[in-house]
Amino acid sequence: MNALDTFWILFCAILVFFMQAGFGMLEAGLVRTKNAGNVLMKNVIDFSFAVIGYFIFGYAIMYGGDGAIIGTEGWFMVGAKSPVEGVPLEVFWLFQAVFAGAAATIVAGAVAERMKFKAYLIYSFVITAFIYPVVGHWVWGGGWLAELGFHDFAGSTVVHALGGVSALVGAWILGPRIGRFEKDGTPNVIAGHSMPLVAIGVFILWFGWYGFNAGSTLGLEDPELVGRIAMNTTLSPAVAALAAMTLSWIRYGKPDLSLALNGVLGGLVGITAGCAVVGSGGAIFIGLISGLLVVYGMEWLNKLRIDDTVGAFPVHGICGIFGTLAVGIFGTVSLGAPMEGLLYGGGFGALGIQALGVFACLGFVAVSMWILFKVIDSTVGLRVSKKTELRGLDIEEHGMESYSGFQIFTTE
Amino acid sequence: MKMIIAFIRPEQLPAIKEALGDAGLFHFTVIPVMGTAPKAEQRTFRGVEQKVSLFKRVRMELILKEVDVENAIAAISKGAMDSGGQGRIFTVDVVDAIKIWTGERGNKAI
Repeated sequence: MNALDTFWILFCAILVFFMQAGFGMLEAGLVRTKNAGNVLMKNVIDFSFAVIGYFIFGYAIMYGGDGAIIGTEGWFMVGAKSPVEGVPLEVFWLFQAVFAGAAATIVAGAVAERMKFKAYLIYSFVITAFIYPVVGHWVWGGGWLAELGFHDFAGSTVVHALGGVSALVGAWILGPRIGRFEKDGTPNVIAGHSMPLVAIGVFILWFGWYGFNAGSTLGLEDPELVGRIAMNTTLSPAVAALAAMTLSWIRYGKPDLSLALNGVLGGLVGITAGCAVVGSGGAIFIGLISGLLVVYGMEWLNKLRIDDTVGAFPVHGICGIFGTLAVGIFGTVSLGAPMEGLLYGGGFGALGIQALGVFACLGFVAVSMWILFKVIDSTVGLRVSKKTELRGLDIEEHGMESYSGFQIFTTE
Repeated sequence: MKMIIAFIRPEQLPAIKEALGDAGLFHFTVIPVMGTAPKAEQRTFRGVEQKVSLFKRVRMELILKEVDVENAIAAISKGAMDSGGQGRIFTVDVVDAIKIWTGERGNKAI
């Protein structure tokens, strides 16, 4: 057993676990007071379901053998094997389980303030037990995309675009919150209740992201690699924050805190796929584009009248897709990429495989999530009643208030 | 001049606002208040029973010319009926009104 590698993976797993707190604060801050408790409840429960689902089915599907489509060994972790030499299976399982939790949590924010709690319970178990592990197997578990040379180092597609596309499908099927769009389609503001919570949530996510990206080395035998990843994971979100802020300043007249914070997350998602195989210049450019994509993505959703409460699709979906494609542009073999990127004279080969991987993974996710949400809708129902939505999900679904004793408007 | 005071539930506010807007009445004040209800609501908090007897309510105030009063009552009633049907409306006589900027008084100052 290698103590140093074990320590590194365990430490990074704990950092990634703390991202749950980041998601919780981010989403709580971006909803109204009357729904803050409900969205936090969803955060607690989807993580709990994630680790249980990943224990029973998920790990076996993702790492249970070399099948092209799914793995089939190690149900309930019985007979499961760790693919990392010198690191205990339990530590590797934990690192993978917290990733599954991150993928599930992304959706909570997009469907916030109107999705039934019961429906969310079913969704969160299915995505972590079955949907996420299948995609994970294709890319990381030795499945067909890994064989082709598709490179997604820490999960721009596997975790973030998967969550982002699920969020888009969910928000689209649910429909917008009451009052979010006028009858002619003009968008209205439904402001989140606490920007300080949003800001601390984003900082916690950034903090946890060092575990997410640098931990995906699955060891410390190459210190230069870990250093490069940590540096890229700092440069990209910083540039993305500046890009989103500047674009919001130009387009809307004032630098927008909420968009700058979403920009940070966009930059983090964007660099996640290529953090190991791009240089500093690549990281800066990926951050720049990601920050701009976040702002344009929000505008685009407004045009389509899709109500994504926290901007999960622009951040995790669009930047995740871009980040994965960017590996085919800025990735280089000298830093460990499977193929030379476009900028390094490798032609369109790498970009083509990245595009194929994105298309295959997200096509599978979109179709399976659409079926899942439709089945939930026709059985237990997906959306709360109009009265519940107006009165707030805290009181109606959980019988409690998040801010008991505060005099706050619950409906405007 | 009359003042209309309406006590409604927070979840009724969007529908009433829309109905007042449709009637051309855009000026009013809303105040979040707490009010009692005929029956206390049984909730539990961390497994312990809790009797809730004060509920979040909204107090709306409109100062109107005599001619608009019935319109406003009809609009508030319509909005309230569309969103559950609860609420009370009261009218009060207003002695005078003064617009500070111009010094105008009475109906002109509303």
